[in-house]
Amino acid sequence: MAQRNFKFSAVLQVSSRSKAFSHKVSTAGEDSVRKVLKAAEKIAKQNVAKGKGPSAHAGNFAEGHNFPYEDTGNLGENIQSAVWLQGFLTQGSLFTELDYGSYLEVGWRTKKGNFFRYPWMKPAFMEAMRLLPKLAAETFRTQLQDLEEETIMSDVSLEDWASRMELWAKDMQAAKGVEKAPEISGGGGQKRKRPRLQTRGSQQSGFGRHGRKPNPELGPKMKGDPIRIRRERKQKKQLAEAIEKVNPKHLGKPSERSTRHTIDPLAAQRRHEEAEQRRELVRLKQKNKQRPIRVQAKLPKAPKAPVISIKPKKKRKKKNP
Amino acid sequence: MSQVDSAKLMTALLYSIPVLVGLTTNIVGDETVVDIYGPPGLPTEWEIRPGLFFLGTGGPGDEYLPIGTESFDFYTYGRDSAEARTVFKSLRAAFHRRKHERITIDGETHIFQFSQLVSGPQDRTEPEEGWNLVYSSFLVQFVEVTV
Repeated sequence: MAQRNFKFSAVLQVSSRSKAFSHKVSTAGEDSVRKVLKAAEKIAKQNVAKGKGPSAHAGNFAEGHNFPYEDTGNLGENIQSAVWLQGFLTQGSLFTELDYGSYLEVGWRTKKGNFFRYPWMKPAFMEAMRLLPKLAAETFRTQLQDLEEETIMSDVSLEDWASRMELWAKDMQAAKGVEKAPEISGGGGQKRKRPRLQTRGSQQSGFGRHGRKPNPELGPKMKGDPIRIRRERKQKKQLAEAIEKVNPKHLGKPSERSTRHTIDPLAAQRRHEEAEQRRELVRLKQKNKQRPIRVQAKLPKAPKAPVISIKPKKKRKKKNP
Repeated sequence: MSQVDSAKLMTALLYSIPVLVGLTTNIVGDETVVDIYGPPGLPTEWEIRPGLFFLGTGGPGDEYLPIGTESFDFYTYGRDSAEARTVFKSLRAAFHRRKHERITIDGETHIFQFSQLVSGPQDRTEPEEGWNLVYSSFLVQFVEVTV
């Protein structure tokens, strides 16, 4: 009969609107519980290792003592651990299938009236729980660093972002089997689409991607000449492409792109190219400034009004009589 | 103001539960005995009847506040498993989620903070005697000094 003597559970209540964040936190919690459990299992096995447990051969009792539950190392080999998810709870259990393991832990009364006990599991848990803050901090930091790298758009190009999101979506599908990957169409020459992020308004109202409410903070929908809007969009796209070429943020992380203080034979050439690109960007901006978008309104021509000029009458000079 | 003896405090608390005292009061020969025992456990010549004993298993203290958190293992006995369970139930009713009390023992006031069931109940039999018992563990929080 399996005896599950002591259980411990880690309760994680994550109040987050981001699915990615909550997924990472729950993964980190599960990993932390698993690590603590492994540590407890290791310590418990040490406690009941052969020659350490309560037995006559270990010197804990006198020779000839009637001790039916002395440990011979079998208990250490039979200690098992399990972690399972129960809703938002991550639970871990350390157990053994040997009955005398539980007798040693809880204790028993002999016929002579003595009470014996050899707690081996509870002290192991107490010792392992001391490691919990350290292990949990490490695990959470690792998981949240990954998340940070995934979510910072400024340091990641769109292609990189798309590939990361695809990987993340695969992970989510593998882990849960229900999460849907965000639609991203990327690649050379094709139309790129940013992953749609949930707006505040849609989250509050509970609407999904396709049924979102209009956000009053964003203002009314743009109305106007479609030709003008198309032209503006084209210009914006050109500008964004130019920025993407020039912006050093897209070259990598800040630590990776600080090449100015390093000795690099190609650094000067690269700087020259970057400066050229920047100049091009400035020219493009100036060009856009010089050519403002004008809307030619077709107004009906007003009829020409008759020119009326009023000139003051010249005073005639009086002739001298 | 003096340091609190947790075993003494627990014994006083157990004796203050009328239902538990009523269940564990037995007539042995000509004497009436209340079978509630602290460390080191049951007497040597004890025979099976409704009763209990407890052992302290320690716990962490607070770094800043004078509050001790100790766990106590309880072994409740009965002639059969149902009787052992009845004793355990009275124990749980008295200690599970009990909080904020002032207990005066021998003129000294103790502050009892909180207690709860943390492990068990586990029904088992003594491997050598074959007695029925219920094992459980309670966590008790109290102020380490009397006021």
